[in-house]
Amino acid sequence: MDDIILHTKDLAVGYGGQAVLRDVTFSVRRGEIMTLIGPNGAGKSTILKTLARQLSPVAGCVYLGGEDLAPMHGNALARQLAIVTTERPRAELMTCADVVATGRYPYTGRLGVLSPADRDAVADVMALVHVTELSGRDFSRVSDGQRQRVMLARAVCQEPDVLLLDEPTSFLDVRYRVDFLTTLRALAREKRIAVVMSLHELDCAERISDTVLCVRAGAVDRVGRPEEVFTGDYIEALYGMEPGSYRAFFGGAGDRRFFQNRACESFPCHGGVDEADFNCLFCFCPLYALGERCGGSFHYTEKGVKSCVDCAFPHRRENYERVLARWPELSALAKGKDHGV
Amino acid sequence: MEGRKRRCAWAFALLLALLLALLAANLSIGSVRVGADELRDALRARGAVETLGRVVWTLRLPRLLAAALLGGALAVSGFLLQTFFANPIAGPFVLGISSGAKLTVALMLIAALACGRTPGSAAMIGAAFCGSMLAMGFILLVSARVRNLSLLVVCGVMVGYICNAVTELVVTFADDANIVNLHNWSMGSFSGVRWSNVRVIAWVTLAGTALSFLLSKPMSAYQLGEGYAQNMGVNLRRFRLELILLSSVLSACVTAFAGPISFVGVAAPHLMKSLFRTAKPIVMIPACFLGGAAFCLLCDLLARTLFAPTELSISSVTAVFGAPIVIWMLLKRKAA
Repeated sequence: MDDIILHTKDLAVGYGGQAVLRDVTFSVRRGEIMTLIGPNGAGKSTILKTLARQLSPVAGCVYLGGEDLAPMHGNALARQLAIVTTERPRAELMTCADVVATGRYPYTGRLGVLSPADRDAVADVMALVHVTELSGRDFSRVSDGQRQRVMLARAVCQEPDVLLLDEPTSFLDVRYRVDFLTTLRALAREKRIAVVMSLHELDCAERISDTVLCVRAGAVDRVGRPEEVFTGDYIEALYGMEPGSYRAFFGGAGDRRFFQNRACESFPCHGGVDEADFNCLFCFCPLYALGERCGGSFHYTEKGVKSCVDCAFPHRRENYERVLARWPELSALAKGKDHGV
Repeated sequence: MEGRKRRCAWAFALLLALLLALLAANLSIGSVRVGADELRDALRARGAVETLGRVVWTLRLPRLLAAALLGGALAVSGFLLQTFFANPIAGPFVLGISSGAKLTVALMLIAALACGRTPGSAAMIGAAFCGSMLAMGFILLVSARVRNLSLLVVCGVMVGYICNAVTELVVTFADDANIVNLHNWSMGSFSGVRWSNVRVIAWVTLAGTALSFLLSKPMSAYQLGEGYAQNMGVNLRRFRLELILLSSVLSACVTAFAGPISFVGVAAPHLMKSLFRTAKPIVMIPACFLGGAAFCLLCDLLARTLFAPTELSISSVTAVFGAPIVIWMLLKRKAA
């Protein structure tokens, strides 16, 4: 139980004494990721701002490490809690290393001069978040994906117990998004940081979270593990969509966790295979790129797309983990093929 | 990292050399040219006897000290405002704060002169500070309503015009004897500064700059944005108040003694940022002070000598140098 680092009690959040959300109760453990999902304007950012003490609670309390957040000294709070906001930092004439170094703020003296130990900490964190090569680059000239990583490094540099992120992946393309979230998960586990963030990408939320908190219409609707939340038509209900419309677009049925890409030009490329059998890796088959050597039988369509007939890895949900376990080996094979080996 | 430190050291050395050269030039160049030997004698004698010594000691030295200190104060004040509004074209003149101070000082002067008294330095600074705060209050009200930075600057310029108009009106109806004085002052000039003034100026500007320097840590956090500053443990409310008060005191001190001086508050910090290639307050505050001092010394030298014996108003010289820099910055911002 003492692993719980952040919890709330009867929390109501809002602006100017007007509650937007009531009865926000949850707890987050060290090393765990909690994701807030819900429609725009439901109050995800309001919760995050309250947790960061940028807003005071309308009612109830936030406890950080068992201590009430409200009377905490600013510097003490800064050493325990760091944020990555949607605010675009206006860093004039600052290199990425300078921006990361601002995370050392709560640890420096009156004038904020960095000690050698602080500089080492900055370098370590930058290596951990894979932004070392950006050190000397002008922060205002890096891409969105790089910027988010730098801001993550800055927050980690604060050596927090709790990390709050407001829609950290919103401007990122799929590659950067996966990159960012993978790094975030590794950080949370390694440094035992509790992460609370809001996400719009439900597929990401489903995969990365230990806990999902659903916010709707003035209340917290559900809190639970992803598989408890992403069931049936719940997503449609949460976002006020027609029942079944989310799946009609993204595919899947029942409690399926992965989505078919019906928008794909080759859909359904697995001709003849029962739909229930290949819902997950449909468009991301790790063996696909192996071409002739994938081990299954297939033919090429008129569009030149490989269409599997008898897959070596029947795309059943239970096979997904097995595919991932073999992924390093498979991707090495795929790379070998690219280089004409 | 090392390269940057070297650049800073090099830039500071350059700045100091420039400042010393300008100080020397300001001492020796003028209606009477003063050579190095004569200068040394004059300074040693503290203006006791000869005419030349008196010129140097009672006219030039206080004037150049005032120009340097007030120029530095203006640049620091501009840098504080730029940090506060996160806008590189904010400055005491652009936002109408100097004009607000000018109005209250003019009112105070006329009232005091009507009673047959000459107000002291403290009263002048006090009046200027009240005017600064009034104009600042208005700008803050506007900035709470509009987030658009250009609009803020337009509002500031308008406030400046209104204050100038009222000042003109007041000056027009003042006693004939005072008009000339008031008119000179309201155009901006370093002439007529006495040693007693210099003492007050030195106290206020140096203390203000030192206090600003102590704020450089929260300022550097604030430069990232309010949310981040708050998260890093900055007490935002207190910090903002300190920033506003310091920038107002500094620019009020300038207006009280030299009238409104245009564009130094914008141009000097910008030049310093380009020279030092950083916006870190811990470097920028001393750099701005030195840079502003050098800028004003140069402008004052030109104002005195360009069309001697006629003296130009300091604002018209600073505008010639400063305004193009501001325009260039606006264009660059637009492009970025």
